[in-house]
Amino acid sequence: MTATDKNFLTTSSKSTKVIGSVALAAGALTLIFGLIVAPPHIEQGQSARLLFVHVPSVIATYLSYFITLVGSAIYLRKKSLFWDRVAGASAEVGSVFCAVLLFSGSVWGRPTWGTFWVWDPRLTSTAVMFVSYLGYLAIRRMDMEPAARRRRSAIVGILAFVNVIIVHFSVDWWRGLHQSRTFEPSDVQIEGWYLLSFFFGTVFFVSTQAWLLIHRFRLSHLESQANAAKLDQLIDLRQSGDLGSAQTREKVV
Amino acid sequence: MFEGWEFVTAGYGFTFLVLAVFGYLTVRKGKRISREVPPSKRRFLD
Amino acid sequence: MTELDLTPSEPHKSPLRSKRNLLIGLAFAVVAVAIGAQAISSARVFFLNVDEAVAQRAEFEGEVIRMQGIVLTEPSENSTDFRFALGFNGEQTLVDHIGVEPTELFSCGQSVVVEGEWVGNEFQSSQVLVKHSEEYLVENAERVISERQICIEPSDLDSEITEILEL
Repeated sequence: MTATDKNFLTTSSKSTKVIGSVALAAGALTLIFGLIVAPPHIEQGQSARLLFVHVPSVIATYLSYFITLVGSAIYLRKKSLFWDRVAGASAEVGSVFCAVLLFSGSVWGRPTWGTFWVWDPRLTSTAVMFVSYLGYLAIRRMDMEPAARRRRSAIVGILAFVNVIIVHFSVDWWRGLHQSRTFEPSDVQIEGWYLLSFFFGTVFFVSTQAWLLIHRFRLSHLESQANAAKLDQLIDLRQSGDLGSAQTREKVV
Repeated sequence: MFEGWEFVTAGYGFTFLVLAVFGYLTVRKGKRISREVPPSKRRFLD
Repeated sequence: MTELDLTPSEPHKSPLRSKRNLLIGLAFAVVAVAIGAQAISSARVFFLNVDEAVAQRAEFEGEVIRMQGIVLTEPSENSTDFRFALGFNGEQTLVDHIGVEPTELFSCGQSVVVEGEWVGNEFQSSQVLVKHSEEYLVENAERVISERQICIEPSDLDSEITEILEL
């Protein structure tokens, strides 16, 4: 086995190692600044520290689902497998971040609002967004003709983004409990240590997102290549005279 | 003054745990599955 | 047998997988319907500011609504339930809350959302949720007495409310 072969026995590479190191460093800084250096909040006490994971998880979720939108749109135009896989991988990553976003929001809601969950427009639309992308991922795993499945999931990948827009503007469109957006470009209502911790949190989430996206993309590529390799093997077996007895078939598949 | 460390711990714990487990499982599956793919087809950006 | 079937499509289309597809589809349908139903039933609960809720009191008599306003007084201490005055836009009303105690963020000047219904001139609440601002200010000795934590003078309250709260 040559060195090149060995390199390809994993989904990691030089670039993911660099991105991964950035993520680890930023994660450590988020913990240090977010949990130790930043002082407690004037009203919320310690619980405001959840800001440094909650809001960055929103950013990473939006970004992931946006990449799914772009990948789906390009797939429909160019029918490129590359963009289909980007869209799928990004939705997987985005859904993990969306779970983090829902959980961190929920444990923040209890000590501040007084409840883990309320059917507020922002929370409800976020739950719908989460489920709709899980549905998108389910469609990608459905048993149907591959090209049709790619086309259908691309259409769903585009439609589901409508929900992301609804989530984002829900605090302006309807009355609810959830606070409005803290980070308006013109008017940042956040103080020094909090801003710095939030910055590290954002770097941590976005670099983790990039790292996960690359790995998931490569994994989905490997999965389809592995399936193709299995099929080749089956064909070889048939050609070599072993007519695919149940036992050999089982061994391969 | 208002505390709330237990909620902070739960939130941070869940976040870091979920991301770490998801990343670990992804890498592990990638290592396993790449052995089933012929070397010439392991390139990712074709 | 020399014939080869090289059709690559559908390598394993078993009834089991179709059944799985159906189950996944059904599970999502159930979750989507559940969330949708919750969202709709929740959207049907009117969300009014105190002034609107007071103006439409007769209209909403006996109906569960959400009311949003600013806390005007400390909660009364001489009863088992949680009573306080809530105001917005020049209107004020008395809220009588029975249920889970609000969080420590509950204080004068804070925005809260109460869910419940009108019983006479009183709003009977089953849930008090504290809205919090999107401002992230750190604890600071000079800021401890911020404007938002000052309750309004009893003389500025409706006499009916001061009587009940015994201010």
